[in-house]
Amino acid sequence: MNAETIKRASAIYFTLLKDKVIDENSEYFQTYFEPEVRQTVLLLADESGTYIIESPKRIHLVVQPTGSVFATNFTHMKEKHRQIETKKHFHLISVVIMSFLAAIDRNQAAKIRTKREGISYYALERQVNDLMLKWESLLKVEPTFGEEERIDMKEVVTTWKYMEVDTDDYGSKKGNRRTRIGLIASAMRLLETEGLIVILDRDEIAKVIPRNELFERIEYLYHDYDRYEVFKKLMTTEEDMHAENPSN
Amino acid sequence: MNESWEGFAQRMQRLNPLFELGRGMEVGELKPHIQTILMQVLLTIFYRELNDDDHRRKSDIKYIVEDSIKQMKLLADDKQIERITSGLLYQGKEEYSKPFEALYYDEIRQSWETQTYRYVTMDELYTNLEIGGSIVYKLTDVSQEMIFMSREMAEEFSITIEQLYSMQLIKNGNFRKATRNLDHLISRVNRLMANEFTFQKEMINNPKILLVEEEWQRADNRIEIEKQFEEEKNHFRTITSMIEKTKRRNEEDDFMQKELILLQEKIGHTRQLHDRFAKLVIQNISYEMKLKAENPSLFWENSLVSFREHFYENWFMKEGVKNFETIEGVLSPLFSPKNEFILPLDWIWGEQEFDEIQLTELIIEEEAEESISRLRVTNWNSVIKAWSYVFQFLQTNGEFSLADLVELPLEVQDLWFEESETIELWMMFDKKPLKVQVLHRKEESLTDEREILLYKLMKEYPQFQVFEGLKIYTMFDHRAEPHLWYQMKITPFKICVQEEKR
Repeated sequence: MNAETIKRASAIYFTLLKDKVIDENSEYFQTYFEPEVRQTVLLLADESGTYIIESPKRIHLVVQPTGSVFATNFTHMKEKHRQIETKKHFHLISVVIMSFLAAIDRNQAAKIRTKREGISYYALERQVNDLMLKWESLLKVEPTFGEEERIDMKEVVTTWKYMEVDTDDYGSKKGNRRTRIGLIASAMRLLETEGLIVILDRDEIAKVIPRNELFERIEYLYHDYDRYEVFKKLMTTEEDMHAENPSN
Repeated sequence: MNESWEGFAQRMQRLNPLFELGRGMEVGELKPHIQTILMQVLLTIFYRELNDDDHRRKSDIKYIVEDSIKQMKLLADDKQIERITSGLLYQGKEEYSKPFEALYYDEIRQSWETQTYRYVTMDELYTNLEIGGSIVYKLTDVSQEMIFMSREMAEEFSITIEQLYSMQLIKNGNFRKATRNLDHLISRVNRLMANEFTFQKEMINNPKILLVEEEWQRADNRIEIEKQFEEEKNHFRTITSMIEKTKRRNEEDDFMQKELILLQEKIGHTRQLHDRFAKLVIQNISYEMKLKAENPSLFWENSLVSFREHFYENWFMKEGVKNFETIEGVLSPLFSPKNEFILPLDWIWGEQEFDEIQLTELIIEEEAEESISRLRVTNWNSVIKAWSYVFQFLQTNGEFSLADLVELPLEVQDLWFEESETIELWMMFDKKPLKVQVLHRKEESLTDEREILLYKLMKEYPQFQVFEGLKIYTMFDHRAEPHLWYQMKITPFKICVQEEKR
């Protein structure tokens, strides 16, 4: 590995760090695909706990699920919700994002439709609600496991259940976190800031249109069997650790 | 099975949208008129689309409904108008924006099937996805077909047939109608072109759709397609020569001449469009072949795992969540790293960083987050105080380098951190030179933050009024090294004043 390669690779890496995404019009796009440069960039990425996502039109830089030294919009959001009262809101926001991903992660034909028609906040609310009902029934069947480890889930379900869907107060345009729609709005704003979605008809019934960037990230992160196994393993060990150590 | 069943399912699928138009809408006494109103609304949207008029947002459609009702000498209240508008856009509750559904009997499968469709859909050409805003609607193929159906011609609506129809009309001397028919042809070509264009974008972004969209499997019969274009070109030639002939035959008839010239122009336009369309199709076919030949791997549907099934349905939904860090772990890699130091070029971005810090405190009062913009209250007194030192230097030396900030007394340095605005103003000066003209203006009329700063400075410290009329600009300070000042990395540029040359 010579100095020139390292220089070019780090230029690309730091540009990615700054811009998050490099598209095909960038001068770096071609350079990246030179085998040696690519190897070096991948190495840099791995060492800093990040993934490089390659798609035909773009290269993305995202953090790895664990071990990244970087903050993200997501961790910022988490930081803001550190208090006990607001923490459950962060959990709910995560659940909303998850439901949203599930809603758009479908076959090609459906995907094309979603890109054209978008998903309204209210449709998303139904989707989240379905999940909550499932969780509620889980908790009902086995009320005992609410005691120690699933305390979060129980609280999240209850909070959601007693939340109004929307305020009747049309005058105020505030994203009110005490309503389900307000919560969804917060979650979607997070994705919007990240440049993964477009929000249309904000003044009426807001609709979310996923961008290609989002589909590319989903494809890379969640459509890969090996990576799925890694996620599973990572999460199970983490859960076990918490189970053994209830004081955590 | 006799011939009455032949193509029955298809027939019904074309008729259903017509049968279902306005069905189930609760509009009271307007009920018997609802289909007429909706048809008029669809036609208006259709003609706006033809004329490249983008007044096709939901609010515009509402006006169209209102207008149509008025035109038909009917009365409606706001609620009814709202109901009719949303009833054209979605089925049932507006919140879910569901498509319409209708049942039809499939004679081959011998079963009842459901067909879903919409009357209007997003017009990508006019909806600005980057900025956001509102959706601009256009008719779907389904509703356009309803419009075409309502003419005598219920056959096929291929370009060829539209052309033939125009020829027929010209032959019969019905020029005006022929001109109008060309509108249909234009819309047809426009629509096909838009489809082709969308498809091209889709194909480049995601080649796999080539496998999904069966109707697009055309690469194989490329020759046939080219032949068809050639034939259509000939039709245009015939139409043009027909017009020429008619023109010569009726030289003395002024009125007819005018109509013919109009027709001719329209034909010219249509032909151009058609040529462009043909080019696009051929281009797409060659893309398609190239993709298939060079990157076959793009077409392997290799992902057996999906987020929906494996993560959501079979994991989180079924098993519940023991610890929410699991979900965080799964979602976290969706996000890109955010670096925490301020790069000089990225000051806009830096502003967000500052906001974030302020928000941590605000969040305690729940409501703090607003959807549109957050109001930031700046303590200008602090800003002015901090900057007065800079301008003092400027007044005496004519320039001040950012690097010199470190040399200021410590209590002054503290001032610089009281308000994020103070630091951000540095970056504002870096934009473009500012000619100071604030002294005799009203404070409310100032929008540039630099002007506000100067205005306030002059008010507070009258000695700074000498800056009025001067030009303030920035220069990169080549001598100095970039340096760290508390956690900020600073590029040392300097602010200078220059007297305006007259």
